[in-house]
Amino acid sequence: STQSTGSEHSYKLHFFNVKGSAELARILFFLSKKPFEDVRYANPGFGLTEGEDFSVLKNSGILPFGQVPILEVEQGGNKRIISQSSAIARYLAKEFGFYGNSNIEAARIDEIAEGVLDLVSAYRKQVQYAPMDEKEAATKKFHSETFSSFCSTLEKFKKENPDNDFLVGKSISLADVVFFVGLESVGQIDQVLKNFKEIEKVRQNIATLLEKYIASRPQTRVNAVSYTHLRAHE
Amino acid sequence: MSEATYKLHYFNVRARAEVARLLFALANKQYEDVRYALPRFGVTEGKDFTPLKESGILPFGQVPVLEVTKGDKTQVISQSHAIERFLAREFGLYGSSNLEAARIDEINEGAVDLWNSYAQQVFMKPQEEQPEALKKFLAETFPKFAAVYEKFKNENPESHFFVGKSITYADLMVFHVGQGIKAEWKDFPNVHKVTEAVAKTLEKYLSNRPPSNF
Repeated sequence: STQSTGSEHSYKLHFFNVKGSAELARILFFLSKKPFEDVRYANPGFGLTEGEDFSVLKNSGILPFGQVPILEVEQGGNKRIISQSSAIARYLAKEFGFYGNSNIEAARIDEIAEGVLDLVSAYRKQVQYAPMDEKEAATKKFHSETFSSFCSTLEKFKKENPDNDFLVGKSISLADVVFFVGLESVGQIDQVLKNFKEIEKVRQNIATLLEKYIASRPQTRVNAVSYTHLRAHE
Repeated sequence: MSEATYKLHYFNVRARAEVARLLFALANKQYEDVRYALPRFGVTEGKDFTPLKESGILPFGQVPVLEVTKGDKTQVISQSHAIERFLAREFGLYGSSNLEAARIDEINEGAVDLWNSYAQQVFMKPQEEQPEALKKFLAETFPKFAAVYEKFKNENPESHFFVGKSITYADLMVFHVGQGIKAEWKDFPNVHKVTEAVAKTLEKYLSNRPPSNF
């Protein structure tokens, strides 16, 4: 992975006042101990009443896809904007050294991240969109099939990294952060996770590293998935 | 350090393995392009997928997967975008800085969103509804995305390509998604120039690749 050199960067993250798809970036900043401005917007249409006025940002024209999150990166007078939550997450992971120590490790990190994306997408389809009277059955099915299958795959991956506390390589990486945030997005899975000792341990290790962050972050909704956008009203 | 050898496993269609194939073609690297039949989509030519499915080597039970062998060690990489990113890095097609790589990622994520919109609005509809749905998609959803790409290209005016001076993973992705959604870029001249440049660069590969409906 490449580390940035030269003069200091300053960072400004823009997103709604929820965890959502900006949580990856926030956690990466926390792990890196680098300062950043965490700009949070209200969105009355989604019941988010606290935060900056989003219409100002929306009308500014600086959002490439008309969506958030975006990350403003300024270095030595040059300002760049990065959109797309996973592009932001991967950029920060590379800058801060959380993207593995080789292309093969980076590929494994990407595999896990894509797998989590599929998992959360499946949760939305199978459980969140299920009619109220079918929710309990849908949740049981999600737990015993999709979620368990995902955990089995991650256990297999972890077995290929046996002597370490995290999913890929020796230290925490983007894979672990995505895994952690993904688990927060698929409802109550603690009981099911107990069937998968290796990755339950990884989750504990991650939670330990993020203890201060979790204790101090604003108490907001989870929102659905890490890698999709909270679509702004047109 | 010995050269790596590669084996790509996917169905005998373009879809989720084609960008990996384009990366190999662009880098002029050898690989084994293993193609499986997909009978329920009318794709009858190719190997039987069952043995691979039951082999246990597919991490998520899905294809594509890429086997990378270096010396006596073989690594299996699953997830189409993980495979693509790996190859783009290996072959130097991912920009020359983290910021350039971020712009490539932005372009690709947007292209994936565009494809997903197409899948939802057109591909998943019953056959008889598709022509009308495609018309609507190309008139309404597509231009919104294309305008963003036109802007991205304008931020790199001196080049034929989206990022930096030479062709990258981003150009291949936009080209591939454009083909997938049956888009014409002529109303977006800067993007059109890029896709034409990709078509020209990969002329030989494109004219020789197996036919595929998607």
